[in-house]
Amino acid sequence: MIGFARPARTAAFRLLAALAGLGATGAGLPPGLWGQAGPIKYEAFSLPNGLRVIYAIDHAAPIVTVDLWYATGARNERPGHSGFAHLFEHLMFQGSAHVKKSEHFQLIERAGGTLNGSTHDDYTNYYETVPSNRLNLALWLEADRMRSLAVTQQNLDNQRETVKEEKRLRVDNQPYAATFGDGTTWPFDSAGCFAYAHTAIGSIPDLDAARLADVQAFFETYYAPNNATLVVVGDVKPVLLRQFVNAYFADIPSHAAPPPVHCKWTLAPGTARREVEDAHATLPAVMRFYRLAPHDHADTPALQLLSVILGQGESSRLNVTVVRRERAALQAGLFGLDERRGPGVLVAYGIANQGVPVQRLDSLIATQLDSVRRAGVTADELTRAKNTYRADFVHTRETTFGRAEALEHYTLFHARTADINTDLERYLAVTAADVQRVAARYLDPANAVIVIVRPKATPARAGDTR
Amino acid sequence: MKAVPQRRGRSMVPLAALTLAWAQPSGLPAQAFPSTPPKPARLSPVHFPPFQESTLPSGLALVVIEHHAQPVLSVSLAWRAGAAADPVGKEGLAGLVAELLSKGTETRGADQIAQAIEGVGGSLSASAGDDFLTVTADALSDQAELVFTLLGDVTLHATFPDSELELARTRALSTLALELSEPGPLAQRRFATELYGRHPYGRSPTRESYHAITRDDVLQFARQRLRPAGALLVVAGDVTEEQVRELAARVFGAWHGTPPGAAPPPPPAVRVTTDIVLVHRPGSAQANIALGNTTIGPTDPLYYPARVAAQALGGGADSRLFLILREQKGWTYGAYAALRRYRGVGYWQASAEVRPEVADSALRELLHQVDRVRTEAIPASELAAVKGYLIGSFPLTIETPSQIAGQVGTAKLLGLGDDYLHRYRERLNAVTAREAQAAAARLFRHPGLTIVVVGDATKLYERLAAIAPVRLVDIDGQRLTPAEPPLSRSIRPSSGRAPIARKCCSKARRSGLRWRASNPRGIPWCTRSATAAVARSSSKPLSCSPRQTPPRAGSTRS
Repeated sequence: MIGFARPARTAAFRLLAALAGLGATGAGLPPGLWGQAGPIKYEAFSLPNGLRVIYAIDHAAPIVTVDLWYATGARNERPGHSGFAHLFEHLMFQGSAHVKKSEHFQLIERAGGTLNGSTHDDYTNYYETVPSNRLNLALWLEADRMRSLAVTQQNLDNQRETVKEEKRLRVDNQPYAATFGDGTTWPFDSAGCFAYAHTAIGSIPDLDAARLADVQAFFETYYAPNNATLVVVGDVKPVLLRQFVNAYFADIPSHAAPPPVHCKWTLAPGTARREVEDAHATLPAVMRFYRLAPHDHADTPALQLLSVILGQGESSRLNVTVVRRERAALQAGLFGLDERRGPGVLVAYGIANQGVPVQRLDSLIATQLDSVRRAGVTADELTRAKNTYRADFVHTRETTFGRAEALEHYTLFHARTADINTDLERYLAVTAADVQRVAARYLDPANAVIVIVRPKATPARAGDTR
Repeated sequence: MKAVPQRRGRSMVPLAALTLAWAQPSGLPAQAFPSTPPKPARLSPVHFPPFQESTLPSGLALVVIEHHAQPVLSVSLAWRAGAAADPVGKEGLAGLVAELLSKGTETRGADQIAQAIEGVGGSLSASAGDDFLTVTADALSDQAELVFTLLGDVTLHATFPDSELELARTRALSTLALELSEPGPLAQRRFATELYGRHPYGRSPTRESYHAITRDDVLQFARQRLRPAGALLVVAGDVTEEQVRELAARVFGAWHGTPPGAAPPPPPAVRVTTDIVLVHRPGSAQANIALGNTTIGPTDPLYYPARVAAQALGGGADSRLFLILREQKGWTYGAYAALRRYRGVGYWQASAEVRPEVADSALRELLHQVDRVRTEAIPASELAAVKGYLIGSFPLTIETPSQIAGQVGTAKLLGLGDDYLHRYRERLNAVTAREAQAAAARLFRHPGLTIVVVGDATKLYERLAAIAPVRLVDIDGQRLTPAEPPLSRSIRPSSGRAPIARKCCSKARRSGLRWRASNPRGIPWCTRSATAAVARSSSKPLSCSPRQTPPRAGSTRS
């Protein structure tokens, strides 16, 4: 859901994970006190209009990241308006009172910066990484569109077409992508939880239905300083930063708090099975979608370690057994879409090797999931998972942007931003019994939507007939 | 309505001196919001981070980049043994060798290797690009000893077990099937083939070539080519040069040998006419367009002006292709252009993914913009913007030790010269508009472009045939011939107007023009051999009178 980006040309499932707004290892990896990794030092303050500002100083390189999260995303969409939050994100680059259409990225790129925005289920982010002498430019641009978005009918129509092409590129024209996107919504029903029972990319008819008045209403409701957090990381002088923030953001009025989102869901309501034909796929695939508790639930650390043990890395159980020993899958894994204030989804998947019956693949994957529910994990596996977690986190904060996203994540999804420097203790405390307990709870077959993807029986290629 | 939920920061109360903005009487803005973008402050100079180079007695080159910001370590070992070294008919060999390096040594099985490195949260993997085969290991820096031990083991003692070769082959075949189902990889594969033909950079693995590879091939490739002389070891992260030298000497000190000469591949043949290769992907929701041509070797000084021209054309969101095809027209999610460097002759490519209905318009616009950058000098303000991005964003590309290692490694492996990284920005800055245009005129060849389009030919063939001659192939590259003879052609993209015959026949087609019924699958395309007579007659102007025969059972219409 990125405002614009070079099209990914990576493996199918990396694309699937990106569709959900997350990397395959899960976003928001917790920071650590493990190893030599120290805490992230930051300062925070708020403006009277409710804008929260967090900054972390690092003079290692003369660059700075400005990362602005609005606490709105696909979850705030209403029936008939699917895909609107993402379309709106595109419109944020279409001009404001003092910035013409396209001028936002022109000004940033000419200054030697990079930028983008992305729409997730629970938030939408806008960010720039620039040479540190252009911090003022990045902040000014964000402030101008927060105070005065100016979208014309022509620009709405233009970006509507662009978003449709994005949907065709990422979903409609790729194998597995449509099923994956839809599959993540099937654990929830529209009546009880529309927030997570529809995809962020939305439908073409809903995109076509978007009106200019909807744009203004969405802006008024959700794009207010009191619904946003500004994070600045890098080569920053605090005095200057505060001057810029005051000058650009302080007089933007706050708005009434957005209406709350309700989501009724049930853990393990009974197994659901679906079979899907995929016109683009050449290999069958299995996807199992399991409901998860919201990110701030106490089970989250054990669940994240469980997903490493079962489904991430060469030595994960699914790879060692299903891919290597049984030679049944080209790839198999497990990851969570859990960066939500509502229920998430744990996805187990495999793409079958040529000639492997898809039911056999599904049963091999199920056997591995069941074995953890029944017999738990070993101490070595738990150690590997914790070490992997620590290393992933250190890597994510090698860049100013990575640190900025981590600060935003903790601010939105945890009780306090300060959890960024203590959360690790929860991961260290996870025991093998915890992992088995959460496996038994969430990987219950009654909690699964099991999806079999079969290549659609298309006419064979003409070239084969000669 | 505008009730303000006041939220104060927990850890800090703003100092009064800095909060003048909200010390003003309510209702009045503290200061007017600036109506123009703020001016830049003074920019701190950026120097490329220091690194140390040395060569071991075996001829293995060593680069150490000390970077202590985070406790991380990245090590990569590269040989001039990429896919370009695959023997003819054994395409995919270098890739399988890379895959198998970590799948068993004299003392460790594949699972033991994976558990050892992942047990400490690290990773070890290898891959073969076109020019180089690279093994990379990452871990936290307290695991430097383990990283070097494992890297040394897989490099010196890999055994390439039979069972692992068979597993790798199975997965490679499935990966190939997966890639052929994805339009992007399919377009890139076809583009390389069209651009380079039988040249080493043009050959791709096939089902047949994967089946042809034996364990002897694997062993011979590894033993001959994965030798230390001429290889490059780059170590970056929270380590000291002394520590790295000691580890490298211990692990690689007894390793000797020289690979056979690996001169860059020779220049490929140059195409002089432009045609379109249309890869028929039934039901494709978009047309994936890729166009370009071969260019120059990696050290050619034309690189700098060509880089400026490519950036102006399609380097980012502030470039012509993006601003026109996306922001003006709404035809695509993104349109870009880029140069690609090889050890031998590289290429440039422009690409866009568009809905089928606008594929011809988008291709015409792409060609028009290629012509513009070839024939018009880039205006001064645009040139300044291009340089602002290329030069100003350089520090963003050397933020992490892995990124620095990538920059240094590329410069060394491609032989870009010792001063390349230090003078990169100044050389770009010196490029004039006239030089950029001259480079574009020389390197972006039109005519002479290779154009590949992946999409549903029933929706695209006629649209594209109006721009340039179309060769139709299936996803395996087998030639197809449209049931209708190719229609009128115009190689001038800027003419923009379809000949009358084409329009007329399009109309006929929509109204129920007969498809060849001999095609058993309902795809309105059949193989060349089946329609050789039709194809031969296609040079004659096509009669435009529609044959009003209704479609036969089993046939489809676009």
